[in-house]
Amino acid sequence: MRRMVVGETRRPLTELSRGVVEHCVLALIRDEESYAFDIVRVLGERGLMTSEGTIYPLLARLRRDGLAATTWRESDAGPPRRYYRITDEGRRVLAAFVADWTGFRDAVDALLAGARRGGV
Amino acid sequence: MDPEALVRDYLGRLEAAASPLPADRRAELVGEVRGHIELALAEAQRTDEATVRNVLERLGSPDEIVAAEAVPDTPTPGASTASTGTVVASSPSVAVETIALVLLTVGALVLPFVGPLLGLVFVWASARWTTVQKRTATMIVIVLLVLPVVILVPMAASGEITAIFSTFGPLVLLVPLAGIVAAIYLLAAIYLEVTLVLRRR
Repeated sequence: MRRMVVGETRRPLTELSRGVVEHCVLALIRDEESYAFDIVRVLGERGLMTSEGTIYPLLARLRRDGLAATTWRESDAGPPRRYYRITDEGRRVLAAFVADWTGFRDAVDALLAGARRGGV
Repeated sequence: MDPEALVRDYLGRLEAAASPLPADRRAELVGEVRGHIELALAEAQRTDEATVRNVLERLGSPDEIVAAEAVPDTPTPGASTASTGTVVASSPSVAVETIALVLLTVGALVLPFVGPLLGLVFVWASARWTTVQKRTATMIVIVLLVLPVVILVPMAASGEITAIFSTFGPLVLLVPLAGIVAAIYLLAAIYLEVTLVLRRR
């Protein structure tokens, strides 16, 4: 089974990162508020965001779902910026994700390590 | 293609790709991406073609961005309680601008002098106008508040006013004055409103 059903167009990392990056953003705005451009920068440095523009739909979703709240603040240069910070609901969702993620990661790690040993 | 045309072309394609989105969200998204490009170019301190191409490339294709707008198969947990959050988050700042604009226009008529001053308080409370815009609006209002005093004081000194007062009573002065002042307060309000509309585009 060398190829998944969807074929060559399938980009596992893109698919995988979709749900994950949202929670990374929640983690980024957990301790201090931040604005889109800055969030993109941090995600980009860690290779978690390839198409920077997709941060805006993502942030809009967090806003709509009540996981992030926003405040407009003035900036030293340029127009006011929209700052994002996590809500109580966002904290709950993030905490649940952290628990799920830890279990998921360990399971995948163990399985991948096993597979690499040559299918013993 | 010159750099500015590149940006225009990109935003045009984004606008087209976003046509299935609700109009307000589409405008917001295009505005957000436009702001992103401006910020990225300001930070790079260059606006040559290569830099612009790089910024646009990093943004991803318009289709990709719009595709990320709708991920219906993965509802975020907690979405059911969500709508209140959005309202709490965004409506106060909208309301502040609305109150400010109403006080500067209707307020100037209903509460002469006091209304526009209250309006300025709300203007400064808003985080969506820049300091420069707030100062400009304040200047317009203050000039208009001072203007009638500047006109009336010499008139009173020269005795012209007492002649008019004796015929019509002092209130007659307020009629044309209030009209003019209110009309010019509109300038401040329109100026502020235009800055908001431009931002949304």
